Amino acid sequence: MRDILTRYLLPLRSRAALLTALMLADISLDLAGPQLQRAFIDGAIGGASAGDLVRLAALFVGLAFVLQGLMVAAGIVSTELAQTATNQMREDLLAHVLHLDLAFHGRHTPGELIERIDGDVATLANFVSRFLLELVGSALLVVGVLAMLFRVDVRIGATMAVFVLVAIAIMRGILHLAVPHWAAAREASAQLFGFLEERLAGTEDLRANGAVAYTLRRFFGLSRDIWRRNLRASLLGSATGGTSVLLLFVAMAISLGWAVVLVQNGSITLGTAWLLFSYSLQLDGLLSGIARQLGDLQQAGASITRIRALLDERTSLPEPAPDHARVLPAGPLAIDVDAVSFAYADTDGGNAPTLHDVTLTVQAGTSLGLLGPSGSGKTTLTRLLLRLLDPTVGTVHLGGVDVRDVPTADLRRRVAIVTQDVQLFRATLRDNLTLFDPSVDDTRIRAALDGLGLGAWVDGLADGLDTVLAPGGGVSAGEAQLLAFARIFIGDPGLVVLDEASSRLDPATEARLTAAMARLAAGRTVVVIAHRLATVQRLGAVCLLADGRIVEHGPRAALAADAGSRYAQLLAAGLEDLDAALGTVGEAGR
Amino acid sequence: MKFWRTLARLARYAWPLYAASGLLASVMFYLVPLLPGLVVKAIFDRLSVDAPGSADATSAAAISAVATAAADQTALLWLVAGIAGIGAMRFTSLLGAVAAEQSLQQVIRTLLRANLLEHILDRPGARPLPSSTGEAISRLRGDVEAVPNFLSWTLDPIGQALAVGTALTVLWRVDPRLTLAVFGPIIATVTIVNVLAGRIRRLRLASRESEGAVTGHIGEIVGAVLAVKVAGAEGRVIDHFRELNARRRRAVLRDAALSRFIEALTYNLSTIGIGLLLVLLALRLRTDPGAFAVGDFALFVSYLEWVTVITSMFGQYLTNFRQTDVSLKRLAELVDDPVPERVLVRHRPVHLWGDLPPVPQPARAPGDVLSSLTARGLTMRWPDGARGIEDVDLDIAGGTVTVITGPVGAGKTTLLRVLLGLLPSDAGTIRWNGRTVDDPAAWFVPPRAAYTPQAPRLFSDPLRDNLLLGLDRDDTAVATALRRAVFDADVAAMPDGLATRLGPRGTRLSGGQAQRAAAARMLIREPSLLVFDDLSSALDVETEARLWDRLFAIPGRTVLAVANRRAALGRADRVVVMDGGRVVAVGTVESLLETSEVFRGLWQGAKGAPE
Repeated sequence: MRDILTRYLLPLRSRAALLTALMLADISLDLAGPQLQRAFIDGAIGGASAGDLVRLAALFVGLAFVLQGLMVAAGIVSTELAQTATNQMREDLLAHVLHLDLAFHGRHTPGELIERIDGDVATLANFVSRFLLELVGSALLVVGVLAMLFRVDVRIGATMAVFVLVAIAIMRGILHLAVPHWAAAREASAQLFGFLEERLAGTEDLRANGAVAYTLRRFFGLSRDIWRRNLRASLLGSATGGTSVLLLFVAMAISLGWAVVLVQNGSITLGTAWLLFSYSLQLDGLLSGIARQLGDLQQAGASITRIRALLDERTSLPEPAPDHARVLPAGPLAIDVDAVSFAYADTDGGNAPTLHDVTLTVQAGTSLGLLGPSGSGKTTLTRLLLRLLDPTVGTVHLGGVDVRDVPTADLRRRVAIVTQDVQLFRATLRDNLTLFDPSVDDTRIRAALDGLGLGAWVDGLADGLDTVLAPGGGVSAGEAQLLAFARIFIGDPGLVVLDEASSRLDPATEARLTAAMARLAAGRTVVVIAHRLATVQRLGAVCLLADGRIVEHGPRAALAADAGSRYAQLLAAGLEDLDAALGTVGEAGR
Repeated sequence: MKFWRTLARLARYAWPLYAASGLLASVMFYLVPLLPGLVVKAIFDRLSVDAPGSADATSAAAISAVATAAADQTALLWLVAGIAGIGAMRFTSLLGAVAAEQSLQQVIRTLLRANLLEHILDRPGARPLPSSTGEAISRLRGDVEAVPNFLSWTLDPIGQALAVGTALTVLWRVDPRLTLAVFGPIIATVTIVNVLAGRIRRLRLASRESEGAVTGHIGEIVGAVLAVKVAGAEGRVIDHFRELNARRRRAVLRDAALSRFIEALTYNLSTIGIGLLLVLLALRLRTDPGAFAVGDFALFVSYLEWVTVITSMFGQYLTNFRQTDVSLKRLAELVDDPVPERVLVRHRPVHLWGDLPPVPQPARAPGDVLSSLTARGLTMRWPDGARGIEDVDLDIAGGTVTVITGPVGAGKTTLLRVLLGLLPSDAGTIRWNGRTVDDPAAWFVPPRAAYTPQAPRLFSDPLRDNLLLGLDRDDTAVATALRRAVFDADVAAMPDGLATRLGPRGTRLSGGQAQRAAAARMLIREPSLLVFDDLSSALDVETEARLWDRLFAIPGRTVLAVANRRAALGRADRVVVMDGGRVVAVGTVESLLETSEVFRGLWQGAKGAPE
């Protein structure tokens, strides 16, 4: 816990110092109160002048108003401190999560990650802003109260000091009992929201397949988990709170017991007896304050554990050491895949296609079409080029440089991809196209859109490039695909991967894209995962994959001319009776 | 939204828990702390008899007082022990209070979430939520928690009134004038809180909205992690996030500053009250020097403390009331109904105990087999005036294959969605076997119809659960569906087979695998009408060909599909050509090639190799 707190609070130490000063002033005033009351009582009984008593009373009222100001100031400073620290933490966590590899994202739902990045940090924000203020403040006040009690009578001071130590020990013991239960409760909650997030994104599927009742049943099962775990955690939590209240009553009894004994043997005045009781009442404020915040501490402890676990996640794709980092050459990038095999390390990821001993070269500035049945490893192969995965065996070189030696940011600038699932954000069209890069000027964006024939479409939008795209409405799948192409035109990559890019386009739109592709291909290396022979026929080379192995690879023209090649069989079949021929060639390929 | 009526319905739903929580957490909680004050007064009353002056009063009278007090000491120490006894009583009542409160809150949370979830699933499935998914999740989390939290405090004012009334009666009998002085600050607080209440509501709303924006952004970004990564946009995405975060910080700060002021004020009222008490006592001593009794002072201070704590809790109660009102409104926004609370607080079992509800299995009635499906004048316009569909007629005979084709943005997907009730229609009628379908959303479900969308959504569950979604079918039936969907070989290659977990949103499957898994999910329901939207878009040619062959070989099926490829078009009994939201031509491939310019263009593009 300490490492995370120091990491985020240390840079804010000037504000923390201000907060401490406010807190110390606050505490001194709290300690002064009972002293004034004692003076008043002893004065009233002992016959002090009425003027003196009025002055004492007025001083006391003034003190209350100063306290008000101090408390508000401390509250604002602590919230500011907490927000600044946790904003930083949220940013770091999101950045960290974005850098983790796809295997990590394969294991965690977006809803779960929201819960861990935002939910856990929010709990922590609460912890920093309220718990630190109240608990640290309380601890300091306890020390102050004990000092005052020692001044009255060493025996009382000693008794109360022992009491406070025992009380803290008891509280800590109970606290430890509850932490794992809070973690379990939060885990159950994360599961529920992960479940809900997925279902809310799939309402159409659930609805049209008659699965509403089933979804509700699952929801009730998960809610039941939360209820059980929450109840267990809360009961343990309330045992801590209850104990603190019980301890307060013990403290009152101790102070009153001493007061009775000492007043009766004449060693203290009634005013001092009141002072003792008054200070024990202040412990009331402190102990119940502690009790109120214990739940937060328990939850914050669980949250910090989970935040640290998240920060401890490491990507399996390490950045190159700075002195070892290399730069990709300018212009089109040659591809050199050498004896690459790939398999997921974790057994539960084993259903994704693996690769076996794949060797493949693509000259800079040329194009390659990847063909093969679903699951043959086409996507996996392209992910190796983008270094979204590292090969288990073998190497991948781009432009003669091992991709593992290129800083990821540089690599991604030079290698672009259009995936089949185009993701749009609730943000302006401009931000969707530049992915939040404000340095791209509008003329470049317009040029890219016009080149794809989207100019008229943009002009038809209410706010042009500033139109906020809402997920699920307004943009068709085909338009989304065209927008993804526009993203590429705006960047200037040396290698472009089109992964099933033509999947959702009608032929007319695809014709537009084909033309645009031709322009894009000029001066770049292009790899296309194709489902249609039409697409492949514009490319320089063809590579057929099956079951993670290269079945056939060569210049397209040469393969087409070789009647014995699989590609030629496909081609021949496709030109005459495409569907039937594909079936037989497909069977033969297996 | 009727705030209190809504809460009353919730309270009625779980009344035994509500009553238990009310008794323990609302009444006992406030009354028990009044006891120590009486004990403390008794102690100080006796002590002041014993010690009339200051410690240096060593007169003979004082010494004799000490002697007579010796017997009294035992009684005093018993009183002191009584204080500890009251503590034990408070401890046990607290535990009971938490158990009752937590159970109540969880029951109500589950009820609200179940109602909202069912409602969201029941609304036209393809209509976007009023907010992003992440935003909706933030409401299902934070706002759903706020409501039952407040509900469990609704009886607090009664306990508070009882406790304050008792305290004031006791004090009034000791000294009415001083008692009135205690009231001043309390009334002042309540007034100030009420004046500030409007502002709190606004600030809290802004604060929660800025939180929703942050949550929504996180959800979108991690949901689109691949796109962000391949674009190398991590840094820029974080910059954007930082901006949202800064906005949230400002909103939260404004909210916190005001809440803090009110909180501190209510706390300080107790100190101010003691100050007033001291001033009044000092003024009285000026005319009547013997008028001061420490025991009374102790009682006043003790009750003053507790009464101001109660006041502060009432202040928080008011604040929470405003905030809960905000939360309830935010939940109502998720509900698409003129009377949102009707949906929101509908009574239903929450199944926290006992058996989970069984999943009803679709039963096939004779009329469920499609012999004819007709649509007339189907029209749907987006609220913002964007493309929809206009006056579409459709005739589908049982056992046939109908393919809808057309360029991007022609309205093909919209037509399917409107027909199936996944989007609300603005006009038009639908007839199934001649019978008018009033609620297409409820009608077009298995065993009558099932649907595979363009980009099907799968879930992180095991494959088997994804396919069955609660349907009671054995693995033989699953295997049949898998084979028909040309997904059998893929599943056979998975080490865990049907038990394979698909990862978040099914992302462990490739695009083509997801489409075929979704097709299998539809086929296992054995619907009479199969509806596909661009099923083969992510499939390679050979898989696509095999898929259509196997689908069309299913006995008795009627197919309605959106497709642009020859593999599908060539097998259609009837092709419907759409453009600009309207049907522009209908017929067989041969007839359309002669009559439809649009279709000729599509057919040329759909050809395997146009060299």
